[in-house]
Amino acid sequence: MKTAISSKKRPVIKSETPKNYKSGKEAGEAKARQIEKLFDGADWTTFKK
Amino acid sequence: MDGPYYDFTASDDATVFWFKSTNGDKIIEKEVRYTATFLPDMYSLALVDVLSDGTVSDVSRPRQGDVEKVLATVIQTIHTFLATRPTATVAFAGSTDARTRLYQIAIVRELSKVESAFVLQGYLNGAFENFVPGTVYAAFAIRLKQSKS
Repeated sequence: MKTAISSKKRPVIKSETPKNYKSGKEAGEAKARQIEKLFDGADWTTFKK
Repeated sequence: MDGPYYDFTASDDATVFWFKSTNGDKIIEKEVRYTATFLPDMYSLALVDVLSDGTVSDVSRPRQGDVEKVLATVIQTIHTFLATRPTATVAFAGSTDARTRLYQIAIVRELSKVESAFVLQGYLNGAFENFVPGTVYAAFAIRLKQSKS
Protein backbone atom coordinates (compact mmCIF):
# COMPACT_ATOMS: atom_id res chain seq x y z
CA MET A 1 0.00 0.00 0.00
CA LYS A 2 1.38 3.34 -1.02
CA THR A 3 1.68 6.23 1.35
CA ALA A 4 -0.28 9.25 0.31
CA ILE A 5 1.98 11.98 -1.01
CA SER A 6 0.04 14.60 0.88
CA SER A 7 1.17 13.11 4.17
CA LYS A 8 4.80 13.72 3.36
CA LYS A 9 6.46 16.66 4.90
CA ARG A 10 8.52 18.81 2.68
CA PRO A 11 12.08 19.19 3.99
CA VAL A 12 12.96 22.64 5.14
CA ILE A 13 15.82 23.97 3.07
CA LYS A 14 17.60 27.01 4.39
CA SER A 15 18.52 29.12 1.44
CA GLU A 16 21.48 31.43 1.32
CA THR A 17 20.43 35.01 0.90
CA PRO A 18 23.25 37.02 -0.59
CA LYS A 19 24.04 40.16 1.30
CA ASN A 20 25.50 42.92 -0.75
CA TYR A 21 27.45 45.78 0.74
CA LYS A 22 28.64 49.04 -0.68
CA SER A 23 32.22 48.20 0.18
CA GLY A 24 34.48 45.66 1.80
CA LYS A 25 34.75 47.96 4.78
CA GLU A 26 30.99 47.90 5.28
CA ALA A 27 30.98 44.10 4.98
CA GLY A 28 33.83 43.88 7.49
CA GLU A 29 31.95 46.05 9.98
CA ALA A 30 28.85 43.88 9.56
CA LYS A 31 30.90 40.75 10.20
CA ALA A 32 32.46 42.33 13.30
CA ARG A 33 28.99 43.09 14.67
CA GLN A 34 27.94 39.48 13.91
CA ILE A 35 30.88 38.14 15.92
CA GLU A 36 30.19 40.53 18.82
CA LYS A 37 26.55 39.44 18.88
CA LEU A 38 27.48 35.77 18.64
CA PHE A 39 29.94 36.02 21.53
CA ASP A 40 27.69 38.18 23.69
CA GLY A 41 27.26 36.32 26.96
CA ALA A 42 30.04 33.83 26.21
CA ASP A 43 31.79 32.00 29.00
CA TRP A 44 35.19 33.65 28.64
CA THR A 45 36.78 31.37 31.23
CA THR A 46 36.89 28.78 28.46
CA PHE A 47 38.66 31.13 26.11
CA LYS A 48 42.37 30.42 25.83
CA LYS A 49 44.63 33.42 25.68
CA MET B 1 47.36 27.81 -11.03
CA ASP B 2 47.38 24.39 -9.43
CA GLY B 3 49.07 25.50 -6.22
CA PRO B 4 47.42 24.91 -2.87
CA TYR B 5 46.34 28.54 -2.60
CA TYR B 6 46.09 31.70 -4.68
CA ASP B 7 48.68 34.45 -4.67
CA PHE B 8 47.36 37.44 -2.80
CA THR B 9 48.21 41.06 -2.12
CA ALA B 10 47.82 42.87 1.18
CA SER B 11 47.13 46.38 2.38
CA ASP B 12 50.01 48.19 4.08
CA ASP B 13 48.59 47.44 7.53
CA ALA B 14 47.88 43.79 6.60
CA THR B 15 44.19 43.99 7.44
CA VAL B 16 42.85 43.61 3.89
CA PHE B 17 43.90 40.98 1.37
CA TRP B 18 42.92 40.52 -2.25
CA PHE B 19 43.20 37.61 -4.62
CA LYS B 20 41.67 36.36 -7.82
CA SER B 21 39.71 33.15 -7.80
CA THR B 22 40.06 31.61 -11.22
CA ASN B 23 38.38 28.65 -12.77
CA GLY B 24 38.40 28.31 -16.51
CA ASP B 25 37.77 31.71 -18.03
CA LYS B 26 35.94 33.07 -15.01
CA ILE B 27 37.76 35.31 -12.59
CA ILE B 28 36.25 36.48 -9.32
CA GLU B 29 37.95 39.12 -7.20
CA LYS B 30 37.97 38.10 -3.55
CA GLU B 31 38.65 40.25 -0.53
CA VAL B 32 39.52 39.07 2.97
CA ARG B 33 39.14 41.75 5.58
CA TYR B 34 40.02 41.75 9.28
CA THR B 35 38.03 44.21 11.36
CA ALA B 36 38.52 45.06 15.03
CA THR B 37 35.60 44.13 17.27
CA PHE B 38 34.78 45.70 20.64
CA LEU B 39 36.22 42.56 22.23
CA PRO B 40 39.83 43.09 23.31
CA ASP B 41 42.36 42.19 20.64
CA MET B 42 39.76 40.25 18.68
CA TYR B 43 39.25 40.72 14.97
CA SER B 44 36.55 39.37 12.72
CA LEU B 45 37.27 37.85 9.36
CA ALA B 46 35.12 38.64 6.33
CA LEU B 47 35.45 36.91 2.98
CA VAL B 48 33.60 38.67 0.18
CA ASP B 49 33.36 38.73 -3.59
CA VAL B 50 34.10 42.08 -5.18
CA LEU B 51 31.46 42.60 -7.84
CA SER B 52 31.92 44.39 -11.14
CA ASP B 53 30.20 47.55 -9.86
CA GLY B 54 32.55 47.76 -6.90
CA THR B 55 30.05 46.53 -4.33
CA VAL B 56 30.75 43.30 -2.48
CA SER B 57 28.77 40.19 -1.64
CA ASP B 58 29.34 38.03 1.40
CA VAL B 59 27.60 34.98 -0.03
CA SER B 60 29.31 33.77 -3.13
CA ARG B 61 28.69 30.60 -5.02
CA PRO B 62 32.04 28.88 -5.06
CA ARG B 63 32.41 26.45 -7.89
CA GLN B 64 33.46 22.88 -7.48
CA GLY B 65 37.20 22.55 -7.39
CA ASP B 66 37.77 26.15 -6.39
CA VAL B 67 36.36 26.42 -2.90
CA GLU B 68 39.17 24.47 -1.27
CA LYS B 69 41.77 26.69 -2.87
CA VAL B 70 39.86 29.83 -1.86
CA LEU B 71 39.65 28.73 1.75
CA ALA B 72 43.29 27.63 1.78
CA THR B 73 44.11 31.17 0.64
CA VAL B 74 42.06 32.59 3.49
CA ILE B 75 44.04 30.43 5.92
CA GLN B 76 47.24 31.89 4.45
CA THR B 77 45.96 35.43 5.08
CA ILE B 78 45.32 34.47 8.71
CA HIS B 79 48.98 33.47 8.95
CA THR B 80 50.05 36.84 7.56
CA PHE B 81 47.60 38.85 9.65
CA LEU B 82 48.58 37.18 12.92
CA ALA B 83 52.27 37.45 12.12
CA THR B 84 51.86 41.22 12.36
CA ARG B 85 49.65 41.02 15.48
CA PRO B 86 51.01 38.19 17.62
CA THR B 87 48.56 38.69 20.49
CA ALA B 88 45.43 39.07 18.38
CA THR B 89 42.63 36.54 17.93
CA VAL B 90 40.79 36.06 14.66
CA ALA B 91 37.16 35.02 15.04
CA PHE B 92 35.08 33.87 12.15
CA ALA B 93 31.74 32.34 11.34
CA GLY B 94 30.05 31.72 8.04
CA SER B 95 27.30 33.95 6.81
CA THR B 96 25.10 30.86 6.96
CA ASP B 97 25.26 27.55 8.79
CA ALA B 98 26.27 25.89 5.55
CA ARG B 99 29.10 28.36 5.09
CA THR B 100 30.31 27.83 8.64
CA ARG B 101 30.45 24.08 7.99
CA LEU B 102 32.39 24.80 4.83
CA TYR B 103 34.92 26.77 6.86
CA GLN B 104 35.14 23.84 9.23
CA ILE B 105 36.00 21.46 6.40
CA ALA B 106 38.82 23.75 5.37
CA ILE B 107 40.03 24.00 8.96
CA VAL B 108 40.17 20.23 9.34
CA ARG B 109 42.15 19.96 6.14
CA GLU B 110 44.58 22.70 7.10
CA LEU B 111 44.78 21.84 10.79
CA SER B 112 47.80 19.58 10.49
CA LYS B 113 49.72 22.47 8.98
CA VAL B 114 48.80 25.07 11.57
CA GLU B 115 48.30 23.24 14.85
CA SER B 116 51.93 23.57 15.89
CA ALA B 117 51.82 27.33 15.59
CA PHE B 118 48.21 28.21 16.42
CA VAL B 119 45.62 27.75 19.10
CA LEU B 120 42.31 26.88 17.48
CA GLN B 121 39.07 26.85 19.43
CA GLY B 122 35.50 26.21 18.43
CA TYR B 123 32.59 28.15 19.90
CA LEU B 124 29.56 26.13 20.89
CA ASN B 125 26.68 26.74 23.30
CA GLY B 126 28.22 29.87 24.71
CA ALA B 127 31.64 28.43 25.45
CA PHE B 128 34.95 27.89 23.73
CA GLU B 129 36.68 24.53 23.51
CA ASN B 130 39.70 23.13 21.76
CA PHE B 131 38.71 22.42 18.21
CA VAL B 132 37.51 18.85 17.72
CA PRO B 133 37.11 17.69 14.13
CA GLY B 134 33.58 16.46 13.55
CA THR B 135 31.98 18.81 16.04
CA VAL B 136 29.74 21.41 14.44
CA TYR B 137 30.64 24.83 15.82
CA ALA B 138 28.91 28.17 15.53
CA ALA B 139 32.20 30.02 15.17
CA PHE B 140 35.95 29.65 15.49
CA ALA B 141 38.75 31.52 17.19
CA ILE B 142 42.37 31.21 16.13
CA ARG B 143 45.50 32.83 17.53
CA LEU B 144 49.20 32.26 17.70
CA LYS B 145 50.54 30.03 20.43
CA GLN B 146 52.42 32.14 22.92
CA SER B 147 55.92 30.94 23.57
CA LYS B 148 56.68 30.32 27.24
CA SER B 149 59.93 31.97 28.24
